[in-house]
Amino acid sequence: MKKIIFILLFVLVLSLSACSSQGELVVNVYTTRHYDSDDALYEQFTEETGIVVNIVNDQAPALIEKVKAEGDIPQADVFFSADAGYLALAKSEGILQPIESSTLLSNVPEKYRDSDGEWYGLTKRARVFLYDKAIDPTGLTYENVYDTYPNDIVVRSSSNIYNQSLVASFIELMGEDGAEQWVSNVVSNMARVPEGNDRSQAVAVANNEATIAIANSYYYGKLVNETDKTSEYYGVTDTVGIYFPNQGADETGVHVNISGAGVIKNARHTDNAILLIEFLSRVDVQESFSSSNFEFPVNEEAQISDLLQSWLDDQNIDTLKEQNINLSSLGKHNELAIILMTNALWDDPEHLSN
Amino acid sequence: MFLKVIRKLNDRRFFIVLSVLVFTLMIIPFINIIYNFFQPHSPFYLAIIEKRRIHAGLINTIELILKVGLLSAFIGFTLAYILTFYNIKHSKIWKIIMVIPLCIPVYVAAYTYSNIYFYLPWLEAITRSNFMMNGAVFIYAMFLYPYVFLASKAYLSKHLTNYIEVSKTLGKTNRHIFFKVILPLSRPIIIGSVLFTLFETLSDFAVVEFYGVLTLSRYINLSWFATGDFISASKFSLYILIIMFVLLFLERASRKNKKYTDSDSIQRPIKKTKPQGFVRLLIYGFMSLVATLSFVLPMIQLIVSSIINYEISSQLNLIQISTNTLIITIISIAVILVVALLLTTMTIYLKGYKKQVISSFSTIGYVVPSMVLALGLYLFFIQVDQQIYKWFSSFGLNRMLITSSITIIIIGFFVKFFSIAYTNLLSAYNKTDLSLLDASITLGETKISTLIRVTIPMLKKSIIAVTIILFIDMFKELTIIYSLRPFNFKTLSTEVYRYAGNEMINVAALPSLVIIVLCSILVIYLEGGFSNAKAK
Repeated sequence: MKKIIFILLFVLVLSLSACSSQGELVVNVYTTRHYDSDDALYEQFTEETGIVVNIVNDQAPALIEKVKAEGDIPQADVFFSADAGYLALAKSEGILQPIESSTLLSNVPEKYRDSDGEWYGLTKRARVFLYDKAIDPTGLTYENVYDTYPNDIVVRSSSNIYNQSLVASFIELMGEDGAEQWVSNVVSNMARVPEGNDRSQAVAVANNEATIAIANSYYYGKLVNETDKTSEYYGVTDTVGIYFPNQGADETGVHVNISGAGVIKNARHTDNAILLIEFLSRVDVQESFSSSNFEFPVNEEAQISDLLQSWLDDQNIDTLKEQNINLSSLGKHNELAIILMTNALWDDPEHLSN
Repeated sequence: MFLKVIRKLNDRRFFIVLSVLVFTLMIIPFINIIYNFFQPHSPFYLAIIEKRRIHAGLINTIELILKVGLLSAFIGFTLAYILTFYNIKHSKIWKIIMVIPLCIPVYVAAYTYSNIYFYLPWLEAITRSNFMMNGAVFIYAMFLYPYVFLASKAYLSKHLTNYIEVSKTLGKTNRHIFFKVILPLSRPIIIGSVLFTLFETLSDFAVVEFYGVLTLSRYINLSWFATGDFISASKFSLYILIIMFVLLFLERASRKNKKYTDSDSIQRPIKKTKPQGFVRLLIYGFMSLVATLSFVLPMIQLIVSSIINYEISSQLNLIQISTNTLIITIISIAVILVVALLLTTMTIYLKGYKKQVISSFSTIGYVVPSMVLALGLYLFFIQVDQQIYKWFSSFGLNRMLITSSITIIIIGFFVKFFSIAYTNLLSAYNKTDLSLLDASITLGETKISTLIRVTIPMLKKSIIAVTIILFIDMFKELTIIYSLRPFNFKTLSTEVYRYAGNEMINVAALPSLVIIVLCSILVIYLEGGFSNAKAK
């Protein structure tokens, strides 16, 4: 019986390995990003280099857990995540390897890459205020928004990684107590129980359910470009504006998160993986992230798209002031951030429960 | 030739190997949960437990399943009753319309409704009231009630004729017959099918998150997305598992000591009455209301969105992703049906506790949250794969056999959905005339050839019903496919989710529609809907 199974397996293996590509002009990517614009860039990469990009997208924790289980023989070469916290987690789980690349060192500023070279940031998004255009948002900060607009704030649930990273950044900046206070102040000034996605928060402002929404700059770009007239998102930006908080001289700067990538330890196509990440950091590709996916480039040579530039111009911002923190701290404080939000009843605020 | 081989197969040994294999597969994800349960608590888990945050989640979860259970039972059973006992115009079409909501994934329904509410704010006020738990109850009940409808319809049209005729002979009124005869007799079927709606409700987190209802499944989600805390996620899953097992226990208890067997296997057709006056108004009003909310409105919205966003969604390789979806669905259904038929054949000859053990283990897959199931299977099979890889890499094997192919998805589907086939076929088996099987065996056939030549033709109707449910469930299944698919493998549901997750639900409308249309075609085909209607 055992013999038969072994022989069957052997035949199966031979037939399979015969049809798989031997040339290895391949790079396998585990990514949490799921954008058509990314796929277009991968196609461009294949055209230029002949290297085929294979994709699996999934949630970051699942991908990290898979790579851990795969151990010495990983299936993927690149880990690409839309949140710095997960990149830090991937590093601390030991699934990435340090890479040396002069291209990456010059394309990605120090601030947006891991100190050991295990991951490199590729795009930026800010967690901003979307406000009712009937008000003047000038001078709004993360710290004064709940006093200025009490019971008038909407934000999505605590399971959203961008909210977790926002709170994690406050833990880094203000310490645990300060962050706890901030969370509790926001929760007690929520206009409704957190529901929906980021774009729904803007809809709530448009429908006068709230004055301020906390959301990602990237989604505001998508709202501006909504062409489907039957969609509830259509025309929302007529009455809802975008505001980058904390831009004052003595203020902390806006919370910025990155998408970034690293090469997986023991990857079989390390060289191809590095080539892909270098490609994604190149000026023209960075500009493409900005124009088609409304993200800010990390490469300082790259031009910000007109739309994103217009947001900065509206606020007379020359250079966007960003939180001065090490992005790895977002991963370090992630669990505490969730605990703070859970303890403050973020998803079930006391004043709103019946 | 094939039959000859089968006749020669040693029944006993074959069955033992098979049941051990199934048992092992089922238990893999479960072992993971139990193992993780004994790991030290994470700070997040402690925070939830110590601050008694878990209570709110628990209370909300129970409130949710109570309301969803009652509402879906009411809608599903009422519709089944109407279509069975009343003469309804175009009843075949109505019947299909009543099944289609099941083809719409609940999260697609919820997202789609946010656009519908945009035009019908008064509807939002009603369906998102406090009673509806901000809309969650409405969505789950409206799009999961077909489980109750399908089961009740099949039961009512087959098994109650005699009881009703006796009652009528005794001069009982229709109302009396409904409350004293039909409802009590149907109770086990209603409860059994409501369980399916509740299991789906319990394991979903997208809808409750979208509507801001804090339930246990969201804690699983939250701990998972915390620091990838699989251990806490497993622990919270255990709470849900406990609720599910309590429900299963209650269901079994409700059936205990009651045997509803029909000694008379030849059923007379039901005499349908023609609804008159107020009743007629009520019946058509109710059916139209349900159809509007669970079929017409979402379909209009999806069709409009598909047309308007065609430019973006036309870039999808719809033929390719539909083929992918069909391939894994068909292979999985075939595997499940074959194994389920074999295993039920074995079970039928077993007695006492062995039977109980097999039935209980087969249901594990369905109650374990999909995410835990998928990861548990992956963690196990990657080890198997790596062993194979180490043996054969010198022969040119350069990739993982199981985990980098659709095999792993089929295994996942098997574990998840096996119990649907197994429990349904077993109950159908129990209703057949077992003496026919004995006769076949006396005539020298083995149990397996008896299965092929006698049982399968006898169970044809149940097999079709199971196929429909499996097909719909697999077609819209997301979590398992999403976490287990190999590189570049896209299905309709993964594409729907990709766009929905990127807050582009309108672009997701087209693949959603393809899911619904393909499922509907299957329902119509297997139910013989239109051709029968025409023949009449």
